[in-house]
Amino acid sequence: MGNPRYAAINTKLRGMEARFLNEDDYEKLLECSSVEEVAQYLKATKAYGNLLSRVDTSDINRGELEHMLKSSMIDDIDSIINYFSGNYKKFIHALYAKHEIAEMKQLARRLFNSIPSALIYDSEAPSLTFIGKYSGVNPQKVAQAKEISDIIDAYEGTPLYKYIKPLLLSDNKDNLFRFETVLDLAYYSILIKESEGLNAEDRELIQNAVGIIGDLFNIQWIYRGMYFYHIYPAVLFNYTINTGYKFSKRKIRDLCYLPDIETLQEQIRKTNYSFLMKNDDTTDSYMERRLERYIYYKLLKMRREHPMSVIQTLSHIILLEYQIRDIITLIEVTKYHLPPAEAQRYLIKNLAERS
Amino acid sequence: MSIETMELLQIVGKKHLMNKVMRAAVINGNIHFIDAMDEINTNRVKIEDDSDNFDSLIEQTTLRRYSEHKNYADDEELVKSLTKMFLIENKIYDQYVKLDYNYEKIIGRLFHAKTTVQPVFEKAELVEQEIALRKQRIQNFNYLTTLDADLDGFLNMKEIKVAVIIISKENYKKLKMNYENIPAIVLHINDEKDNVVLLTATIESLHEDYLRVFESLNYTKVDIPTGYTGTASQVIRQINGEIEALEAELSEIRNSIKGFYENYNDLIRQAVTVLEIEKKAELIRKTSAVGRSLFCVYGFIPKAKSSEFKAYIANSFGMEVSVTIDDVSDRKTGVTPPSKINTNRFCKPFGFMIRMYGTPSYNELDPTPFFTFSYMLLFGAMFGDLGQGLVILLGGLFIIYKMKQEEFGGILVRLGLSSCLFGLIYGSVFGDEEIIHPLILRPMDNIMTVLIYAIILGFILLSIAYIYGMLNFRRRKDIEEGLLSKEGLTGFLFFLVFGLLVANVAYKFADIPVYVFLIVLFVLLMITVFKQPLANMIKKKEELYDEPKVDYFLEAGFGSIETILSVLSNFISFIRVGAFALNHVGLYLAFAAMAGMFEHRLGNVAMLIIGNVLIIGLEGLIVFIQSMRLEYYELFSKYYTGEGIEYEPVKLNK
Repeated sequence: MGNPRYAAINTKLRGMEARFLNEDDYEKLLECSSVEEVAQYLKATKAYGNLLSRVDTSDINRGELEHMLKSSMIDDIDSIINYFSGNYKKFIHALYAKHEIAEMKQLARRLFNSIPSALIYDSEAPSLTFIGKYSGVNPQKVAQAKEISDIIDAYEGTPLYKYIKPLLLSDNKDNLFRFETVLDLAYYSILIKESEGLNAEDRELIQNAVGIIGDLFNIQWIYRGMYFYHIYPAVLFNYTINTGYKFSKRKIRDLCYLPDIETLQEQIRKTNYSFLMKNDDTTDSYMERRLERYIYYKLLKMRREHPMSVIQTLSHIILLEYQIRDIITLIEVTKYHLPPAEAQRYLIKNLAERS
Repeated sequence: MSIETMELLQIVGKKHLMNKVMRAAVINGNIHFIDAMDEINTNRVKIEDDSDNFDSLIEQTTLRRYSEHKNYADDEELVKSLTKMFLIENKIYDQYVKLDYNYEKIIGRLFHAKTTVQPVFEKAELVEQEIALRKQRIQNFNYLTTLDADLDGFLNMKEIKVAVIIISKENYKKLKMNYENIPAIVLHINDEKDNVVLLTATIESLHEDYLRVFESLNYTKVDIPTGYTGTASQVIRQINGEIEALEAELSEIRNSIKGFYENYNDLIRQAVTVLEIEKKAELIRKTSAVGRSLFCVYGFIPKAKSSEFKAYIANSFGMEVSVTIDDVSDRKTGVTPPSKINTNRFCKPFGFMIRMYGTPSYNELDPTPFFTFSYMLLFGAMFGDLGQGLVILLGGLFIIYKMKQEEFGGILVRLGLSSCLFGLIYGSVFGDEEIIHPLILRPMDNIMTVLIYAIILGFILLSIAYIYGMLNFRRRKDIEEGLLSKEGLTGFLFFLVFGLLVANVAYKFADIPVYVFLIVLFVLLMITVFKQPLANMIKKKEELYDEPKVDYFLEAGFGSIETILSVLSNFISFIRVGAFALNHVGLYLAFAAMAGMFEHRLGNVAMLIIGNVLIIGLEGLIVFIQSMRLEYYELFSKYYTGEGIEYEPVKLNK
């Protein structure tokens, strides 16, 4: 299998990225005070004008809009996949697993709280846009699940099944926590496994990028597990992501067994990831946003350094995902009528540095 | 090649023979039944019985529609469950197609058979499950064969809990890194693909922590049943022994099932068959009328089959059932007879296109032969090409043999054939006109000739359609319409004179002035306008009009305008046949020109292939539709009503 023709792919990616929302768009969106206004504004942008052209924006609910935005992401990724073949195609396809898993988790959470699943886009229902996109499972079958074990049954025969099957044989089949963490870990295993088919340079780049992401989420997991849930250290360690960049497995294990949260913070401050541990009360609430912004800029840096590599595509897909997540956040904050200056702090996109 | 003549069949018999007579009708399979009460009421039929035993008059007053509907769902389920158990095919077995059988008794015996057999089948299933369970156990004990120890000793310890678990290799790495913190002793005993099999031992008080940690490693517990003693290999031997015993039991059960099969297989086959007969008989019963001691049913039967059936009934039932057969040619009221169309194999596929328009009426000429002939002619003339016709023909064969669509495939084969023939006439092979010589002419070199031939072809086809129409009027004994209407003789003459007029203006073959033609045309037109009063005068009726005069003339006036317009448009319509013949060549020329632009020979050939594919797909479809339009609109309006009822005899589906 030859290397992908990155010149062509990059041209395509740049073309698509020219239509991404820019800072001005974000500022305007921050001023919107309802779902309808957000939809109305998006309809006038290059990014989503086509998508929303046939929609009556004065009568749209959150679920519907979310579903449409996510489907637009699928269209985007599908058109990129066509530029790849063989192992590369499989790798890009595996990126769908993240979103499918996120939706499986949403659905499981809803079932766990005994809210019937539904494909109807009421504003609270999980949208099942990505279900089946990676695994090939029939979304209708998943949507009919009554409990978590039904979701697992629906996935029989798919690549995700081997990760969740052991739950069926355990005494507690509807263990939401285990279901969620097992799937989260599965995503990284799948990603690393699929990256092994790429050429040497691309493989290394992917493993570095995924390694950094792994480090960040491991820190977040250990911090939260220790601070909020007091999870048993062995369990804490077992649920860490297998792939790291700066942190070896041993380092991660030692972090899990630290005696208290202060020591953990101290240890992290000594690493590249010190930005996660601020000396104020913002550490907890902004940790996720901070690490996502870090990933955002790290990816931008990597794509500058490696113009002819798979990182271009990976970063495109992640940047697109962040953009859509930001829009969804923007829709959510309209409920709370926050002033724009405060609302923007919940976005992954950093608008503050401009002003 | 005609619509078969039907006869009206009346069967009257004693009630106790009803079921048997119904069976006879089903087995005969030629009778299209109609509702008996409707027939009796609309045609005031008298129930006549050959025997003198009953008082027919009293019978007539007590006749009611049959109302004891029987539901065969339960019986069907019973039969189905047994055919499934013994793997017997669900079809009609000819040796059991008979009049004499006791249905209730057969079903009763079948029910009895099921109650005897079912437990045995259930037992077999149970044993099979037991065997599968033990096979799974062997697999589980196989993990333990690397341990050379007595399992009984350490699997059943009181204070220490030993378990066999499976986790992924990935997670095993984590476990290994963290051994010192794990609340259990872990022994790696085996591998299985991406997983490892571990033996773990923990003490009761640590069991909760143990569960927490191993759940976070996403473990699966291997089921190791207690009650076996010795090493793993010894246990496996024990279990294999159990399996052998179970298999012996199973083969014994299978033997007894075989015995049952010998016993019941004939009964089941008979039940399958008679159930089907009873279900069909019930369909007939639903149409019947029942009196105090008699029943009667009505149906249409092809004339060729009626005497045979009558003889059969007389033979089987003697005087107790009477069959009366009536001619239907004078039938005025009630249900019209169904149309059973006998076509030869060549025309048969086109029946599909005729039924799309409507089923031929009973008293109509079968339109299939003319339709076949004209449709093939029109299609071929418009799409004449030896090569492309061959492609369509092969496509048709493919559809018949691979996709099993006999009718549509058959149509394509015949159209392809006709296209080939015209390809020879035009000298065209895949659009190319240089490979073969035309037998008659090349359309592009003789544009006017082709258009004129097209009109002449239309003239001939329309004339045949008029003649067909007039024959139909005669069959319906509708003299008034047949002679005086615009679809009848007068209309045909109008059409002919109009054709002569046009021809004479164009070619001047006779020295008749135009006004003579116009006078004749006017007279013919007036006949159609005064059709009703004329007809009533001839019939010497008192009333000349069946409706108010104003209404009649308003309608007739507009009708006459339509006559003129339709004759004109009919002629012009057929020009398209010539136009499409030209169009076909034109389209190819366009592609040939494009192909010429390629310098490389490969591009040239590729372009020609693409062009041909497009022509076959696109133009083929258009011509197919245009021919259909000419048939349905121009020709059918002259002679075909399509208001018939399809002939659907009650019969066994073999």
